[in-house]
Amino acid sequence: MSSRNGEKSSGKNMILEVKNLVSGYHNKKVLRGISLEMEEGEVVGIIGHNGAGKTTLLKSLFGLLPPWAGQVFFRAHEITGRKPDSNVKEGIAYMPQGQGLFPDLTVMENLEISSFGLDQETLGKRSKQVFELFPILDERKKQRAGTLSGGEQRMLSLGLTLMHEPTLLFLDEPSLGLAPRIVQLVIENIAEINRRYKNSMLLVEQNFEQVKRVAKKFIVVKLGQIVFSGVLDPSMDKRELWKYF
Amino acid sequence: MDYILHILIMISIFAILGLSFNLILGYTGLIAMCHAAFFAIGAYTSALLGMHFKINFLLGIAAAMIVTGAVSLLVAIPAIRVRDEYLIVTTLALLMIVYTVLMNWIDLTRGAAGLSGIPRPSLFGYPISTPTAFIPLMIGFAVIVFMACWRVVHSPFGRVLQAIREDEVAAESLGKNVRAFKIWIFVTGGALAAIAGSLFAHYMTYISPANFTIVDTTLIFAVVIIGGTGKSWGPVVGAATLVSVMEVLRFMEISPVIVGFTRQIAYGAILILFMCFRPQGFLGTFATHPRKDGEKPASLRRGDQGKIPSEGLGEKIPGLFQAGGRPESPEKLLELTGVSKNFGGLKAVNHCTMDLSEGEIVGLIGPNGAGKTTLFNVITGFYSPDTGSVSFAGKDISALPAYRITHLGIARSFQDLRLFHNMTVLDNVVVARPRQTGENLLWAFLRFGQVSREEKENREKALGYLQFVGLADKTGELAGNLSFAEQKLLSLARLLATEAQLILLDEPASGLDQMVMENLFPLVKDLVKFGKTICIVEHNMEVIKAMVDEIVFLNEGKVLARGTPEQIMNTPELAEIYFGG
Repeated sequence: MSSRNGEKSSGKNMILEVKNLVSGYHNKKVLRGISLEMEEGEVVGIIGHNGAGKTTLLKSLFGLLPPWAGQVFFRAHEITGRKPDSNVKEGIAYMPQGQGLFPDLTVMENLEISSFGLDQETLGKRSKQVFELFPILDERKKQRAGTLSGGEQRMLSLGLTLMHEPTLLFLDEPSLGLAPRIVQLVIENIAEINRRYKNSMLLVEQNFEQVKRVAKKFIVVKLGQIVFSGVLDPSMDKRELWKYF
Repeated sequence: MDYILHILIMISIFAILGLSFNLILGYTGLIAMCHAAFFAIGAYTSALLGMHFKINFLLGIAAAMIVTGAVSLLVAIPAIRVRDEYLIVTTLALLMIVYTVLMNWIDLTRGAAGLSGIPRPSLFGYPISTPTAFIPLMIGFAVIVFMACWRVVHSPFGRVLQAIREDEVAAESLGKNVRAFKIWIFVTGGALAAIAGSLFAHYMTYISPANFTIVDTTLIFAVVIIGGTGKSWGPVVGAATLVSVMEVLRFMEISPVIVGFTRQIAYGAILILFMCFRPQGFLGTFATHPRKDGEKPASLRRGDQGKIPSEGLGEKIPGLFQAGGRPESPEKLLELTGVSKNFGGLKAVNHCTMDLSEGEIVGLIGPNGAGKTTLFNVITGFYSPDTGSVSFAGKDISALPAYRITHLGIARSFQDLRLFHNMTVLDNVVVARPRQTGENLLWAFLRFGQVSREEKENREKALGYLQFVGLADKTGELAGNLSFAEQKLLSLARLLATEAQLILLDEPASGLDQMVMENLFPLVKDLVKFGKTICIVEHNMEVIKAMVDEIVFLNEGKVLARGTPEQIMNTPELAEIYFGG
C-alpha cells in the first residue's frame, strides 16, 4: 500500500485504489486529495484526529457522499460516485458510526431487510453463517434490535454487512460506546471475519490499542490528507502515535 | 386589468394562509390537516357578524381571529399530545367536523347553499368594493401577517419552535415546555388563517362549505411546500406560483364536458413534476446553507476551517461560569431511593439507591445494558420510576416533567447527541439558555427592547461556551455539518448553556481523540469549582480515573458497589464483569 497519483487504475492486484479524492459537505471541503491502495484480504486501520476526514473518506468511497474530484477503483473498475446499492451488489459493505441497524425490527427482520434481492435459500444460508459467527444473535433472533445490548447491536450491525458476502468492508468506529469487555469481543469478531472470509477491510478506529490487534497497516489522516501510510510499530503508545498527527 | 388585480388578491389571500400554515408545518414540523377549517371559521365568523350585526370589518377580523384561536386551542390541547400520523388523523377529523357543521347548521350557515350578500368592507368611511380598492387592503394585510410571522420566527420563541421541529426530546431536555409551545403556535397559526378567511369572505361576498374542503387544505400545503418549507418568503412565492398556474390552466382550450377534471389532472401533474425536480421548493427547505463567515462576530473570524480545536480548548472565558466553589460541607443534592424501571419483563433499573453530594464528580460505570442511561432518563424525567423516588435539593422530582426538572437545575447530554442539525452551531447553544423573555410569544412582540438586550447577552454567553469547548470558529456552521467529535463538543457547550447545577454526561468521551480528551476533560473537571456537580457515564477508564471522586458500579440495573476508582478497579469480581477474564 502506498500513496500515489494518476488517472487510471494501476492494473495491479488491488481491491481498492483511490486517486486524489476530494470531497466534503455543502461548500466545506474535507478531503483534500486522498490517494491510497489496498490489497486483497488486507486490513487497513485509518486513524487521525477528530474532524480529520476519516468518516468522510468512508462515506465518499461507499457512495454516500459524491466525490468532488478524484477516482475510486474497485478491482480495477472505476466506481467513483457509484450509488451504495450498486456497491453492495458488487461486494462492498459499509458499517456506519453508531448502530447502523433498524431498532424497531427484530434481529431476523434486520437480516432479511439487509439481504434484499437475495432468494430465500441464500438468505437462510447467509443468516446461518452470521449466527455461526455470533451465536448470541441466534438466541435473540426474535428480539427487537433496539432492545439488544450495545455489544449485541454492534454484532448485528456487523452481521448485516456480511449478508451480501462482501469482499471489501468499510467499518466506521465499531467499538464506539462499548464497554471494554465488549470492545475486545467486537475486535475479535472483526479479526475472525477477516480470517474466515479473507475479505479486505478499511477500519476507522480511535482506539489504537484495539485496532492494532487486527490491522497490520495504517493510514494517518490529517486535515483531509494522508500524512502517513504504512506499518506502525504495535508497541508504540498513544503519545508516540501523536507525532504522526 | 380587474382580472390581473383579482389574481393578485387571491395570491395575497393564499400567501396569508401559507404564511400562517408555515408556522405550524415549516417551523414546528406539525403535520396538521385542518388549516382549511381555520380558514372557514374565520370566513364564516366575519361574514355572519357583518351580515347580522353590521359589525365593522376590522372588528369582524378581530372577532374571527378570537373565535378561530379559541377553536384551535380547544383542538390543540388534545391533538398536540400526538404526532405524525396521529396528528394527521386528528386534524382531518376536525376538518370533517367543521365541514359537517357548515353543511348542516342550516339556520346559521344556510348549509350547502352558502352565505351570500356578505357586505363589502369599508375603512374609515370609504367603501371598498372594486378590485382596485381591495388591492392595498389585501397587500397591506399580507405584509402585516408576513411581518408578524417574521417576528415570531426570528424571536427566541421561533428558535424554540425550530428546535422542537428538529428534536422534541432534546428541546424538552433544555427546559422547553414543548407542548405549550406547540399549542401556542397552533393557536397563532389558526388565528392568522382567520384573517385570510375574513378577507376572502368580504371580497367574494359569497362563501359556501365547498370553499373549505380537504382540497383547500392540500392547496395550502402545496403553497408552503412549493415555496420552500420553513422559509419566510416561501409561502409568498408558493402562493404566487400556484395561483398563477391555476389561472393559466383556465385558458386550456378543451371541450366543456371534460374541462373540469382535465384541469385538475393537469394541475396535479404539474405539482408532481415540480416535486420530482425541485422537492425542496423554490427557496429550499429549512435545511439552510451555513451562514457566511462574514456574518460571524468579527472577533471569531479565523482560518483553520475543519481543524479540530485543541488549541481553543485551553481558553477559559472570564465570567462565563458563576463563581461558587466546591462547598466545604456539601449537602446531598440528588437522592435516589429504591428506584426501579421495568420494560415488560426487563428490569432495566432494579431498586437502585444512590446519592450525589454538591460539588461531587461521580462516575457511573457498568457493562452495556446495565441501566446507566435508563437511570439518567429516570432522573431527568424522561421515564417515570415504577417504584421509588428521586429527589433533588430536598424536593421530590419523581413525577415532574422533564422540562421542569431542567428548570430546577438538572441537565443531561445524550449518547446520540440529539443536536438540532438544521440549526447553526450558535443557535444550538443560544436556544439552551434559560429564562429567555422572548420565549413568551406575547413578550416577543410587546417587550421588544428587553428581548433584544437579552438576546445580545445570550449570544455573547453562547459564544463563550463555544469558545470553552473550542468551537468558536464554527458558529455559523450548521450543526449537522460538523464532524462527530465536533458535535460532541457542541452538545457539551449546549449542556453548559443551561446553567444547570447538576450535569449528567452520557459517554462524553466516546469518539473523541486522545488530544481533545486530554485538553477538554480537565476543564470539565474544573466545573466543580464553579458550583457544578457532575455524574458521568463513560467506558473510557482513563477519563473516569482522571475525573471522578467516586465510581458507582451498576450491573443489571442494580448498584453493586461504590468507591474510589482504585477500590472499584481492584475488586476482582467487578473487574471480571467489566473487563472480562
